[in-house]
Amino acid sequence: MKNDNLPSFLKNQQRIQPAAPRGLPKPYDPLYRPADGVSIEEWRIMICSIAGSFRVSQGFTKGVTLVQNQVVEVAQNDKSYALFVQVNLTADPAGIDLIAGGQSNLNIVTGISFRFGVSQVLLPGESLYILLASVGPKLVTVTEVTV
Amino acid sequence: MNRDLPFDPYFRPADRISTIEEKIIIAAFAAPGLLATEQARFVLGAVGEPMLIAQNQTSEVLLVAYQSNDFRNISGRFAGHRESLFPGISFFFTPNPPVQILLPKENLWVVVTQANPTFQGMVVVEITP
Repeated sequence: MKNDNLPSFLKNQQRIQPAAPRGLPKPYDPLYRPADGVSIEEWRIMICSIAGSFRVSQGFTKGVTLVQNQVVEVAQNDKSYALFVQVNLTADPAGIDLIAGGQSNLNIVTGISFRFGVSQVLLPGESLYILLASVGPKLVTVTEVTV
Repeated sequence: MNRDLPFDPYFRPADRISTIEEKIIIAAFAAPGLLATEQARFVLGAVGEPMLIAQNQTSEVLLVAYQSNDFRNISGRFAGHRESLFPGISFFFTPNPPVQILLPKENLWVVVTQANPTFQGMVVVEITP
């Protein structure tokens, strides 16, 4: 296509090729979203995040001891399309400082900070790690439920 | 993860939301508006003893809310679906009554761990959305 009569900035734009259709999401692309509507997985994430707290009494609970400045894996979704995870304090109503994330290395410190527990939805293959910032050790209960 | 494995208890059809999933999400959204209008019943209990708060024997989806007769003086409680489950979920100083959704044949047990000496049991509200 000839674009000699176009302003220079438009000439540059003409060189931009149309984007190729996106293929299947790659495992390392956390930002990929399908462009044609809400997927079934996204619906289930919504259901799990909204109804998960209403179903925790029917879930599985385990105790996990957190140690100060140590990253502990408290939950892993190896069994469900969307797993609701709720971490509660067992004996410290004044709260403790928790930092939660999805990585076991030091990048977790860039995660999210909580004081009275945390609720998260894990997708298949995802894990939830918690670092105790308060003086430890502290016992927390970790409850998992699939809605 | 292979969702097609026969031993996977969490398997769901991948191409659509099931009827029960739809009802659960409706119940979760409707809970705050429905529970306030229902008549409460009282479940007797004591600190440290499992109390059977509700059994869903008749409904496809049952909303259950519970609160102490002292309301403000429970400092810790655990809830689960079996009497032997505890320690289960812990609730601390919740300003609003905890609400749970029970599917058919599911139970809700609660153990109060600390309460005022005047504690006698739980006020329970149930409704089918």
